[in-house]
Amino acid sequence: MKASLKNIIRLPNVFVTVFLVVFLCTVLILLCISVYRSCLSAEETLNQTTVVTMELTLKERLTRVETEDGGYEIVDLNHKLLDGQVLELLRAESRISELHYICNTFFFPADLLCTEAEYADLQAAAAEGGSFSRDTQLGLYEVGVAGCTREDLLPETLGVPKEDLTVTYLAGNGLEDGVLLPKKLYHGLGRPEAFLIGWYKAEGYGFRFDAPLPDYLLAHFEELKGKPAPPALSVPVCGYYTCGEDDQAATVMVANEKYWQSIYGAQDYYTLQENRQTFVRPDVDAFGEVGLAKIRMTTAYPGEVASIIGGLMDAGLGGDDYLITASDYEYKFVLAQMESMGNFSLVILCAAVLFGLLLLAVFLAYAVRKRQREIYILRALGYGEHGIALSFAFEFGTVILGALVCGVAAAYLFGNGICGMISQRAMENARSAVENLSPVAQSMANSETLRDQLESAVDRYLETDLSLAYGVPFPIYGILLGTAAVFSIYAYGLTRGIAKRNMMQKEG
Amino acid sequence: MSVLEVQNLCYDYVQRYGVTHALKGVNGVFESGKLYALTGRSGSGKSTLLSLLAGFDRPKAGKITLDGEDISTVKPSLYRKEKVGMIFQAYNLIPHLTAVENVLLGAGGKKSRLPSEAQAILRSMGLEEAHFRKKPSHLSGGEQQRVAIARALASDACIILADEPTGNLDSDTGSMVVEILKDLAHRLGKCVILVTHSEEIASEADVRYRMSDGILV
Repeated sequence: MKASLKNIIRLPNVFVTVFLVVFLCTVLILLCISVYRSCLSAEETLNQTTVVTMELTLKERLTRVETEDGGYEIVDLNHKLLDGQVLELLRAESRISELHYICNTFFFPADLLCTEAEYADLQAAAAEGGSFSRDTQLGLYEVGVAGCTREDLLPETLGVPKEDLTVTYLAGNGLEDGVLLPKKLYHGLGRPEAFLIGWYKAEGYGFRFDAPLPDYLLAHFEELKGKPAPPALSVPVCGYYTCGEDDQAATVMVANEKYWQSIYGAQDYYTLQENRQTFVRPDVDAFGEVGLAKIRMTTAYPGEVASIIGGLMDAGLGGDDYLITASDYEYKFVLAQMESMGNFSLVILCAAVLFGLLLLAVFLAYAVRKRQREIYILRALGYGEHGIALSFAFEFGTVILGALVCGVAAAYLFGNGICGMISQRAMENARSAVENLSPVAQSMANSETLRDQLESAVDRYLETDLSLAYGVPFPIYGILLGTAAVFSIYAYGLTRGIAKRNMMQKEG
Repeated sequence: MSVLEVQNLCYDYVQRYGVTHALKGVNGVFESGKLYALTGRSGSGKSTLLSLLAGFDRPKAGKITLDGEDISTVKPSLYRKEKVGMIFQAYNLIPHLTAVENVLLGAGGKKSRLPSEAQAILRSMGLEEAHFRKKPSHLSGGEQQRVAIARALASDACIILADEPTGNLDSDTGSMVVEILKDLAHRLGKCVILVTHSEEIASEADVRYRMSDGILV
């Protein structure tokens, strides 16, 4: 053993190379593992702390088609899904945590007011001209129900006997008696027919009707039942007639938000003022959208946005009718930085492992072959193959182990500093991304938006806890030790292979 | 007194172009206390015979006995370590070891051999003490060969096999090496078998054998 240790010092040209290869590869491997693990950890943190907002937009649904008689017909281009079904799909997706509905103010689908089954009941009740058993006023604020274009069709559509129905028209300039739609819509429709009605929230338009609440809606108002004085609910419906001096009507039409929200889960529907503003769109083409116009969804699984969208599309939200976009630019930007760094470290890691193994194997083979003559001399002096091979394996094993220990120590001592430098450099690169917007992007009309987007993404990246730190799991050290053992065995095999050769052939 | 005897020794080299019959039934007796010279032209089988005597390989036919015991029944490495000392034309010293360490390496199984003993052997070979700690590359050819002889003696082997030990040396140094070998045989009672091309050196031997076409004449 003493002689072997002496040999290590006496043969620097053989062992220094092996030492350097193992040392450098060890340091590289450990650093790359640390960087990669830090990136994975940061990704996990990012995934846990990031909420991505997605937006489902309904593409054009209704269109006006000119009929043979010179009138117009409104055609529903999307027969595939009712809005209620869309909501069911979204609610069934467990990864979506919040849903914000943004509806067209002209038309609000009745199926949104209740479940599919209840809606079917509603239709059936309406078809049968069912009566209402509870003398409760229904009033909904800023929503609509199934309706019709003319007042005379309203009882049938709502399933309310005509004598139970009181319609009060609010302020506005009318087109003609009995027409519930505003002039613009009515002309577009061309002829009176049963139709979805909503309310038309514009100055001077609106009316109120009072009717007993149908049974199918009572379930939604369970909480109201026990109360001594159920609130009066009102429905403002589109219309154009002035109701004279009835200024009190408007006050009656205020719905109880609490119940509305409890029924439809639209927690933020009325509470978000900005959302509410989107409902009031006097310039909107009422035929372009109906019912649900947009749905804002949030998910706490930013990495699964594509999967969520894909799942919804597969479930029936066809791309022809719905557009789903995700505002996950920041997330993707931050993720890309970390993935880029993680992948780079992984590539370096793989290269260090591959080249390290290859170089070590080659150098060991070279070093053993270089000492071939020594092996033959030892054999000639009567040393056994096993003994010679064991001594060589010990020498190489000691050097490899020494290099490993030095590599681990160096990585441990300087790892955090190097990781910090890498982290710093990565952040500087991220910052420079804003300055280095491509000329094409700079010249684009929305380059300001791009810049803002990028700036906020960079801020988000800098806020993300990407503190690269040295940290290697213990099994890695075990693997390194195992590798050292394998290479010692390899050196043993090489030496023994040479020692085993026919000495006569060699001498000859 | 040790007696190395070869009986009907045959050995073939199988090569790409065919089989070369290197030894074709060699018979001979080598006794301790004598210097034997093996001469012959290149390819006559001298070195092959020496290698077989050293136990590097087994003969294809025939046998080698040492004091009546077939050496094939002994573990080759043990045989070489305890019974045979080798001296080569190219000295074959380990380049990164000093002269003393090279000698100690030759002690083989004799773990108790001390550096002082190795130095004594080197001294007996006429090597100056100043050279004891030098590496082979810092020694002359004659000095290296003396170290090689000292290494062969370090194990107290009874048989010394020398393959062209003077081949790389000038005539004066060569003569000195031969004198040492003679001394090993006569004074220390070793059986020294010397392979050489030189008739002059062969003439110094107690017994001369000539190898011709694989046969000992």
